[in-house]
Amino acid sequence: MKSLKARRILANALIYLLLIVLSVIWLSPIVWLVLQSFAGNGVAARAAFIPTSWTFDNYINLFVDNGGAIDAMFPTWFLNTLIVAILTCIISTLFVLLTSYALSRFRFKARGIFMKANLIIGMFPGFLSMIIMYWVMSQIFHLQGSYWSLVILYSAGSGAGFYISKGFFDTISKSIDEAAMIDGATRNQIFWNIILPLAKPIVVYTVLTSFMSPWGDYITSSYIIGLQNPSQWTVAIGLYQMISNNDFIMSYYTQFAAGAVCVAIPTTLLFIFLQKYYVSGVTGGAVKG
Amino acid sequence: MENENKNNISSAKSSNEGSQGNIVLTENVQPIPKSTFFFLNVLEAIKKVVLWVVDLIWSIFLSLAHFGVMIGHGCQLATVGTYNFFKTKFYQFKYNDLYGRLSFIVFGASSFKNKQYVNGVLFLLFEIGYILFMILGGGHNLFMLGTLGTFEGGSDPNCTDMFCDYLLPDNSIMILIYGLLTLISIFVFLYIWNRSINSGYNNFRILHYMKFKKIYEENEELSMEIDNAAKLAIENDVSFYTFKNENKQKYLSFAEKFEDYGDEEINKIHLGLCKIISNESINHSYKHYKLLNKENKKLQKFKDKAVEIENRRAEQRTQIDPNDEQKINFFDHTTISILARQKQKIRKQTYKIFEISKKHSNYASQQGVLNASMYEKYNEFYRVRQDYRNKIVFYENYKDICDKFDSLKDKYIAINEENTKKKSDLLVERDKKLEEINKKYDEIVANKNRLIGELKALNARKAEEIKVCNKDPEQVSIIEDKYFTQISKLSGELHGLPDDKVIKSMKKEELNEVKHACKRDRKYLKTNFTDQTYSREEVINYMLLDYKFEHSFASKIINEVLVKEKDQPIRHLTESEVSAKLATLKEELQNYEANHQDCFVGRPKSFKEQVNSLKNENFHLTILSLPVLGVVLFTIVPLLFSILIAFTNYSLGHQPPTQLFTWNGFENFITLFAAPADSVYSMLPSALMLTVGWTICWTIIATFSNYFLGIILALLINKKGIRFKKLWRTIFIMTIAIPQFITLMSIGILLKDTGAVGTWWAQTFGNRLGFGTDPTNGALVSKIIIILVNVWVGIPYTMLSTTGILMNIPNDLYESATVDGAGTVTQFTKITLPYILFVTGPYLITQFVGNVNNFNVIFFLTGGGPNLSGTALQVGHTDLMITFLYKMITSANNPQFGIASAIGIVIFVICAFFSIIMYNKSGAVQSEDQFQ
Repeated sequence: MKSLKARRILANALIYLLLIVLSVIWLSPIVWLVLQSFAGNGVAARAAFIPTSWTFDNYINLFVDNGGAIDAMFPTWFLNTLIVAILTCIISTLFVLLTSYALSRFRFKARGIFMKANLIIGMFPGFLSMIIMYWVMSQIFHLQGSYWSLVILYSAGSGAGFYISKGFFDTISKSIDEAAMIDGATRNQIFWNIILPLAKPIVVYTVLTSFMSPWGDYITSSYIIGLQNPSQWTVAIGLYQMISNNDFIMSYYTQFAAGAVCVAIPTTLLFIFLQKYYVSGVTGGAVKG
Repeated sequence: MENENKNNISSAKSSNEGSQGNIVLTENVQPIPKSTFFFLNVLEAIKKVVLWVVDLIWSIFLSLAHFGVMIGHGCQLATVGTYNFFKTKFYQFKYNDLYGRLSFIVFGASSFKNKQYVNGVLFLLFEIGYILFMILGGGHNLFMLGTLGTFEGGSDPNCTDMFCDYLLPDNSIMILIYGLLTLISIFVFLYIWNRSINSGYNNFRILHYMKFKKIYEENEELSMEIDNAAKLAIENDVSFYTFKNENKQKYLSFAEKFEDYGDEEINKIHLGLCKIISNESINHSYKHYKLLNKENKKLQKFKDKAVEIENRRAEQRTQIDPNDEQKINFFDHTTISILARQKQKIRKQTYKIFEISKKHSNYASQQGVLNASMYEKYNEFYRVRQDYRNKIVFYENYKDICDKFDSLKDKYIAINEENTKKKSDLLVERDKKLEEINKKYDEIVANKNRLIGELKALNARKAEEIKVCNKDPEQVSIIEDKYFTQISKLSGELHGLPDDKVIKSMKKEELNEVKHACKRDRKYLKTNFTDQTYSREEVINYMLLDYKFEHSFASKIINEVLVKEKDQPIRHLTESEVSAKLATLKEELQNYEANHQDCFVGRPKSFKEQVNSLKNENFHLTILSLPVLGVVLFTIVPLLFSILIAFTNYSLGHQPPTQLFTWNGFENFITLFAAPADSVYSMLPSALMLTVGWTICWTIIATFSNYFLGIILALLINKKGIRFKKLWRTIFIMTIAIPQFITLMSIGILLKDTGAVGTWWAQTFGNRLGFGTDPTNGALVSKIIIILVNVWVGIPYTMLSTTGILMNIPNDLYESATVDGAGTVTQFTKITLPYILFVTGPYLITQFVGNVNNFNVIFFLTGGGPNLSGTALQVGHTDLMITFLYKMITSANNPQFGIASAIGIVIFVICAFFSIIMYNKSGAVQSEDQFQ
């Protein structure tokens, strides 16, 4: 019979061991991808855990035109995606925050209907509407292949994703609003000057998520942009083409790995620096679901 | 140690039962063989599983019933709503002035009459614009919607020579889009029409407010009567319809009593209002008392249960050996905690009932308040007259007020001194309180340290004794027994105390509270009064109380009449001046009243006020307009389109812009579920069933595996004594930080036969792993791997969102559980899990829906493969319905938009069905306002 303390130490040791094993599992695909991006032996590299020869050329080749069909297109894709993501991020952050503030603080007639309808709409597979949006974008707006169509598509409906930030606004006490109203502030001033500074975590969280979704989206962009013109692609389309297209995979496999690492770096950095806000945004908002 | 404990208790139990002379017991003293235990456990487990399954099936039936009830309820609501809408419109037409009636046809007519020119122009412009739109193109759009285009392409039929251009056929999809948009615009038109009528009607109500007010005032008594009748009716279980019929007569007789106002129009209004009021007043009262009755019954149930628990526990307590002090203590402690929980429920319920009854007042008075806020504030006459009256009251009491003002003149010095003293007193008091709190917490900490010290000493003594007896097992067990009671008592006490972190935060909170209270109190004690400022404030208060003035009026008139300039000596008016002023005021008032015979000068909001209200009380309209427009135009309308497409033959051979497509009824659904064996799609129903099965299977496994494993991970990371919490969290967040398509694609490559894992598998085990490619052996493997990878992707999200919830679980639940002797696992299943399930019910539902539509994981890992053999369809073993649908849409040689949309509808039905089940099961169906 062991004493309590020994048991606790044993339990903690086991937990540490488990966490270390889990961490290795969680990081290994990422590490493997990074290793692949430095592999010197082309598509054969994928058969091994650790590449046999090393090179930095994969990264250089992303930017140099060697005469291939999609050579040196990566910077264009990256720029396309960046513009789309930033514009989407600005618009949809505004939309989400405004919607969730209104739904959290105001009680109006259509509120219940809007929230219920939103739940129901969420159950339909969203990209069915892509069939229609393709036609709307090309025939009504004449934006076929342009990244503006993507910006519109990503951000226009973003107000529907208000759940987490509404939950967060609900946790901010209403008496703050009331006090400000007694002092004579309008609702407009209250939102911009009082509530928003208090809701910093959820602002950061919303910015992050609304940047991430266009950054990593494949279905919508591939359907709306199409595959005809590589200079209009986003990174997701480009990288997917590099390995799914049989003409490309032989010569572009390691470039894919290098490109993927380049795409992952900005978001990873963002997450690491803003982790504190992200976590408190999620935990603050999700308590209410 | 735990084992020992259990044995102790069980032996105590058996001996105790024996002493009471029970019959069976003597054999029971022998230890039960292990195999029996195992057998019993298995039985127990089977029982639990069976119960769970029965419960699930029952809840599925319940959900189906619920679904049906909901649909019925929706239909009922829609019918009643439409009926009420037209009834209201009818009343609004019947009881309205000429302009109000005119605005049924010409939008904004009554706005013009009430000088709301901008509103009127906007209404009118909309109407003209809409009519023009309908004539120019809208009507055609609607007409074309019936056939989706008739011209099949070819050369221009009007052109006679042979050099005609080839013309494309009608673009069916654009016809569909324009047609549906026109259809929606009709609803917008109806909405604006309604707005136009309502604004006219409200203006009418504002104009004739006084007449309405009279009726409401007269109705008050009757409304109270109805209220009491409703209370009685609920107590006697009288049904709503009987109740309504009984009380309807009262209102009709009431309406007849005041039949003649001498004016045809007012008589009509009166009768109409009486009808509306009678209807709504009866509904209102009945509804309220029904709710109250329901809540009261619930309260009674809680109370009964508390009594029952108390009795049961008391009975159980008598069965315990009275000499076993420790056990009795345990028992009492648990009893108290169980009862406390029940009492908390009762308290909450009582409070709820209190809130409900507080909010309630009878219909007439409620409407009175509502009307005052809606219509009275526009009444300029009322405001001006009140102003005059207030002034007259002021001048009538002028001398009194001046005396008061003067008498307060010298008091300010004393008040200043007093306030200064009070302020310093407050500081002293605060310091005292702070000290007390510090002392209190020091005591708690000291007590805790003492307990720890004692426990350590006991343990040391025990270890020494064990050492002395050379670890002789018999001796050891005797010593263990000897110390057991003491140690467990001490550790129980220790467990009961909050941990250091909690103590610290509680202390900080209390200290802050005291500090804030002191600061707040000090702020309101002014020490810089002058004679004027002091008397002014006091006199204003006096006027508010004695003459019932509004604060704004009181301060205004004091400033105007008494304190004209700051720090100037006050010159009082002489008596004659006052009486002259009074006379003029009275005359003015008379003149004003004479000039406004109508007694009411209603003024609706001006355009400027309306615009300003968008920044304030109507701010939600400003901020919601764009997002909601976006959601409607780019989410809801496209969804309606895709639903409509499910009823067309939009597919290969019917593709715009070179081909037409048209409506084909339910043909797509028939193909989907029962395609004839000789058709091209004969394999479709079986393939669909396969995907539906796998989708449901996948969704359930993926959702729950992510959920529970995520919670376990969060528990591991947040466990006390685990360090580097932030590092662990960062590692797991990496999956969220890197875009999914990258990680999933690279894992896909890694696992394929050509990838590193596939190669390694083949080298080690000699056969292919077949992930996503091998239809004979790889199907099951692929499915398992996909679920595992999904765990890899999904756990971090659950971990993050449950971390906050875990921290919020009330600590006393765990404490009482520890006292009851619950282990870690029991605590998890009995406390942590139900609590999290309760709070995250809605989150679980969104996760569920998200997993049904989880496109990324399947598409990037296997692309649906390994493909089904023997079918022309491009469907694989791991295809979810959503990827199946995607393949149908994007397939280059056989696109099937119609069938794909039909599949989308099937997905919706599945999602809705399971959501309702989970919604019923989760129990988090509660009013959201409770949280705020």
